[in-house]
Amino acid sequence: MMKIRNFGLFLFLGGAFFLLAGCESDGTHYVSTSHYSVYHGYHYRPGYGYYYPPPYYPDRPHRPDRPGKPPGKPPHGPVTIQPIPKPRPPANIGRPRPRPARRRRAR
Amino acid sequence: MSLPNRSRIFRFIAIFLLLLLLAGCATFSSSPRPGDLLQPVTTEATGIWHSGRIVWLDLITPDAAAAKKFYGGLFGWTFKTQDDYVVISNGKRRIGGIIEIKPEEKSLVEAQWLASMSVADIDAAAVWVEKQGGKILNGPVTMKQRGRGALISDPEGARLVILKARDGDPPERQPGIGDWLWLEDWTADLDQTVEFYRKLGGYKKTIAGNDYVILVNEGKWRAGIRKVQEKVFSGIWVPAVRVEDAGRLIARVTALGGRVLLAPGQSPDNPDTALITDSSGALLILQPWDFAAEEEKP
Repeated sequence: MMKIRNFGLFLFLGGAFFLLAGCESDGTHYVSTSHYSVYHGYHYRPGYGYYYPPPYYPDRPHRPDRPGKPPGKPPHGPVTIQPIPKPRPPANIGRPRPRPARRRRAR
Repeated sequence: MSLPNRSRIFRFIAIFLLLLLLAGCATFSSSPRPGDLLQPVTTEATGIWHSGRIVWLDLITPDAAAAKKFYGGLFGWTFKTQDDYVVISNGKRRIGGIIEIKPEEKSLVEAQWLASMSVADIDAAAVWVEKQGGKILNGPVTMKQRGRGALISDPEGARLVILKARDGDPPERQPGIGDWLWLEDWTADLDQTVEFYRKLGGYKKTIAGNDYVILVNEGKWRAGIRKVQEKVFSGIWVPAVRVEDAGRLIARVTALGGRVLLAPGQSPDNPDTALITDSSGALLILQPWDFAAEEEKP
């Protein structure tokens, strides 16, 4: 009888733990077992593409290309494109034209 | 055998909690997760993967509407918005996507094309990338429609997605006008970067030129690595679109809000090629290519 009672207690505590863990998740955080946090909120930095794949926002009212969505305040204010000043780019660009070339051996 | 009352109560509560948990899990799994909105890289399930091949490009931009106006006006690309993701087509061919990410206020923002490279084992590659001095910026993560991938940066800081596409890589086709022709990585450290990508992409061969290395697999030129002197341009993957005449497009670039960084005639090795930015600052090369005359010689 003692064992059965302990088993019931074990189920109770285990169930409560998983329930609490489940309730804490809001669906935007996913933690893999390889210690990488896959998603943590929504930010944008000049490090383009840092947040890829992007967060899922089923209802983003600020999207100008999604008519029918209710008007709302953009989450981060209006977008102003501010090109980052750059010096002159490299002189040579693009896919090289085939020509006799020194071939590297794969090591 | 009858259980004591307390045990029965415990068992009842435990089953009730487990049911609640299962209900919670069902709700959780039915909500879309980040990345689930990304469309597949091909609608033709090939079931074939080509290691080291660039299979997709996504434009990360603060203004998707402006991007559609620019690229639609310049190349005639068309767009289909599915959820929060925009699929780009050139004619009938799906060639990429647009992801809008709003910037923080007053921050300097520019768009960027983000390439996806086919890699067989994403998890093993992610571990390897970190050992080689690269970084895992996000993932590995399984995206419902696209496959398993991770956002990485190489030791020079260039960002790239490594991807094992869910249904296989897109069928190989010769790029038409308005399709992706090429992709090259600009780096300050040519040797280190070549070694990094040669192993990451499993390239069997490389062809070295003047401050340039072509990455080859299965007899095909897959991508290039270019040495650049300017630090600010180091660590960027830059795609090239095949065009008929870059010179004719230049006026349209500026009219659509883009900038011309190098006009045709300013690149000694490719005098017919131009370097531009779109209206949100994403770098892009416009390059004519005659496949009959300029056959690859790997």
